[in-house]
Amino acid sequence: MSYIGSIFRRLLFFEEPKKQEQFTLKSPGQAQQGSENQSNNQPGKQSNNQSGNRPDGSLGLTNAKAVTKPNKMPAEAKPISISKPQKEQKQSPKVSKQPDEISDDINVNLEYMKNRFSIPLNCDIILREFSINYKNKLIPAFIMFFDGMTDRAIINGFILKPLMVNSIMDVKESEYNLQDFILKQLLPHNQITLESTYSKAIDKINFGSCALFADGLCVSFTADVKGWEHRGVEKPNNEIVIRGPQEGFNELLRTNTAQIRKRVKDENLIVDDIAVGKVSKTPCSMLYIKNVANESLVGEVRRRLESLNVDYMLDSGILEQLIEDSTIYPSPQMISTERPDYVSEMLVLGKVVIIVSGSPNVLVVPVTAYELMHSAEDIYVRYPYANLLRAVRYFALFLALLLPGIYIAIVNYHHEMIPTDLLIAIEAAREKVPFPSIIELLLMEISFELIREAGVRVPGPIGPTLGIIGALILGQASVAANIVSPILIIIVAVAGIGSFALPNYSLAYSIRILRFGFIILGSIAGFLGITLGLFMIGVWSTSVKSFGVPFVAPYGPRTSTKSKNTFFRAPEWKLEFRPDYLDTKKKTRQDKYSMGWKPGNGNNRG
Amino acid sequence: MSLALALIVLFALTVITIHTISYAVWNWRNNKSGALQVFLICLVTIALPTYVYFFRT
Repeated sequence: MSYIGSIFRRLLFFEEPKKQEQFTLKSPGQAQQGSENQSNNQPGKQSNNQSGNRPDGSLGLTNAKAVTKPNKMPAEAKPISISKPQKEQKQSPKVSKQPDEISDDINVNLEYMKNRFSIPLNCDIILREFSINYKNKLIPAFIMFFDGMTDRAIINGFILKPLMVNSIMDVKESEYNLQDFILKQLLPHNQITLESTYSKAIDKINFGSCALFADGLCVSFTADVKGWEHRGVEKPNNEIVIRGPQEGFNELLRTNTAQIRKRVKDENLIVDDIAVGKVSKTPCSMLYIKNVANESLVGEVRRRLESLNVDYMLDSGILEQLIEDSTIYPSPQMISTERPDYVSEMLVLGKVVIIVSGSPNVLVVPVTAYELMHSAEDIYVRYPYANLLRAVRYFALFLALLLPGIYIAIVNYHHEMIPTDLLIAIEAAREKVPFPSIIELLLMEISFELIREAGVRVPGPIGPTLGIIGALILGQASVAANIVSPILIIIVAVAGIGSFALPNYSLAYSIRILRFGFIILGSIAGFLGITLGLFMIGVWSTSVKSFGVPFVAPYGPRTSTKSKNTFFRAPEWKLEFRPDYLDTKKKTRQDKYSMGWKPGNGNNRG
Repeated sequence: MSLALALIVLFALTVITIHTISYAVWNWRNNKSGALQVFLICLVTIALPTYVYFFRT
């Protein structure tokens, strides 16, 4: 009962917010005061004292939760790599005292790796045993790699061949010990690392490396020989522009980071790798420009990524759900894009980008409500065109969100709002329809959603058939059968087209959900209900933050409007400032007189 | 609109108004003019629908 009472109390009475419950983005100066233990190159790098990441060092409710998690993680993560071998140790008595450390006995290593990779049950792991000739002695060795994930030609030509053939060649005796002999003399590969523990070697093998074990060595040589099949750089499928680059991200992490780096040619662009997922260890890259992005923002993104306690994280869509601020707020709180040029633009503004290996969708944080209405093309076309397009999009947003609700409100309650002739036409069309207008509208909306969902799932060749069925059955037949009125089909179709005009796919989803809410509100209370709904969404939106940035900034709260790219955008030469709400280290992105060639500007002055 | 529906809407508005007034009370120390404006909005939020539902002929 006391719990229910507390809920009612919270519903009725405003409670003073606890200080710094949520992460709030601070300016770099303020952030440095509270985070003395952060390193310069890697701001916010995980430290034991989590309050170091907080600009103010405070521990609110949210902080307290967040603080305990990262502290737990190293403690929990460690046993995962160690405890498993301990279990294996009981099974195989050969493994000696420290189970995770690689033994110098090749047979122990061989047995251990066979156990871990379930050989011969596991069919795609390749284990190749051979001998290395060292000082006229044959040293037993073996390599392990996954078939299909690695490049066989590289393994054959640059690992096996040197080890088996070139080792016979005469080298100066006793110049190198066996480890240096293999590392410096035999393996010509450019990415060789030495691992002293099984867990690290196994992680590398799982991610497309080839591991070499040799008798007498307590280390494993791992060569990066990734060579799995992948998609090339293709046109982005879901964010097509007429003017601008036509390259999209693909599923390869390094291809994606390279695509960004070739655009942002700046040594300050940091690509910071973080593995997410205790089991999957999915490589993620966090990108930011060191001398532009706010350190506390970078630290917050890192903190959220490092504190995730999940077994598997396979896509950026999953990551988005795990690190977003409000999980119940319908609108997306980060941009998901497959365009490297757009991501580069966002990086230059001072945002942080997260790339997940295996996902062509890249996340950009933080984001404001207005940026969800921006398209990548906006920056490539002249500003009057871009503004026209944005105006059309806002109109589309209005139609997609409110048109069915307004229709139902007018038809049910506000007949005086529309011209009499139109009202008579609507009523005449509705005369033979047996359902109340709300049922009629919901019927059409649900049918429309059904066709849209089926259109996504339907195999390509049958696609046009679905369009014909949709147009004929929903359009013509339902009107002819007097199930719905013709004007309602126009309303639903226009609202549907409006949702397709929105540039952000996730935003379109949220609008679809809210549209149903407005239909119900409109049918219950007319315009009053719709106004109430808009009021509630407005209040809700002002309380949401995206990585410390208020969702409706710079208008709620009102901050500097120097950045002239919110609702509409100013000409390119006038976009001198980065968004104020990002609190970037560099406030300006170009000089005041960016067009130096103009008389009176910059160098050509006078 | 039926009486029951009007009462439900007014109840929801009353809950919102009480919450908002308590916010205005909390905010009074820091921003008196803002708090006054919030009071006014609360007044209108309740008064207008009440008038529309029960007094407008």
